[in-house]
Amino acid sequence: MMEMTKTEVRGVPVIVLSGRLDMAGAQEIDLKFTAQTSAEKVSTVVDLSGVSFVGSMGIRMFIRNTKALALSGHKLVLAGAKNEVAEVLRVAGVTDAIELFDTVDAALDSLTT
Amino acid sequence: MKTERLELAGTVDSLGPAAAFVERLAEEAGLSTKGAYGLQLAVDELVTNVVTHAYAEQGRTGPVILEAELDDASLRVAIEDTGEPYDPTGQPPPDDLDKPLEERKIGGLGIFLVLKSVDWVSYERRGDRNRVVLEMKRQVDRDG
Repeated sequence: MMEMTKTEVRGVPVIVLSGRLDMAGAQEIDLKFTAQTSAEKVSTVVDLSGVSFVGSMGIRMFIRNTKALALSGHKLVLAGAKNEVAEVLRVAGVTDAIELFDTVDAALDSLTT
Repeated sequence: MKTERLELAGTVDSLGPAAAFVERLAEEAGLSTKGAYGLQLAVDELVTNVVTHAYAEQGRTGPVILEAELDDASLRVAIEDTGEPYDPTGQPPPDDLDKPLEERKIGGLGIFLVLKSVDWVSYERRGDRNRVVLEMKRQVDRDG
């Protein structure tokens, strides 16, 4: 089961995800996640600290949303992934294109300075 | 040698039970956190493929059968489905992982992650079934 909440920190939207981002998890939140990033069309931080697992379907969701935001010159950045999740993102080649920060604060710093 | 079998419906609802099955066996085998995660990822990607490509997209239904074998050297998990013959080990790797995101195709990533996440992958067609076997060595230093 995936949960998604949205907050705003320092004027930047932060999407907080928790649970297993496998195919079932991606199906659960994809519409809501995509609606969120496409509604505001501003750079957005995704807090992954509560995510225990990310599979290819979750990775595709991040890639698709990053591409969509890039069209308006904005970014999707990831933050707080646990070691194994960060490793999968690296192996998948995602971290070349989507920045991954240790903490939400560091991600916010990159967007606001 | 210890063997266990779990038969699930080939639907998205089976991903959770499959993950729990693998997690328990990985713990029993004493795999590192990284090794356990890799095996779970590989099983998840293969079951996802079966549910979507072997069954849903073909308008078919069928089972996903997990068979685990644990011996002194390794933990092997076999995933079986009754879809059309499909050998994931014969798929070319995505050729665009090093390209900028804007130029990359979406797809092909699941099998790539399977091959990267476990020590050995093999495939055979057994009767009307595809059988993919994933193997993890029990005593390997995976740097955490």
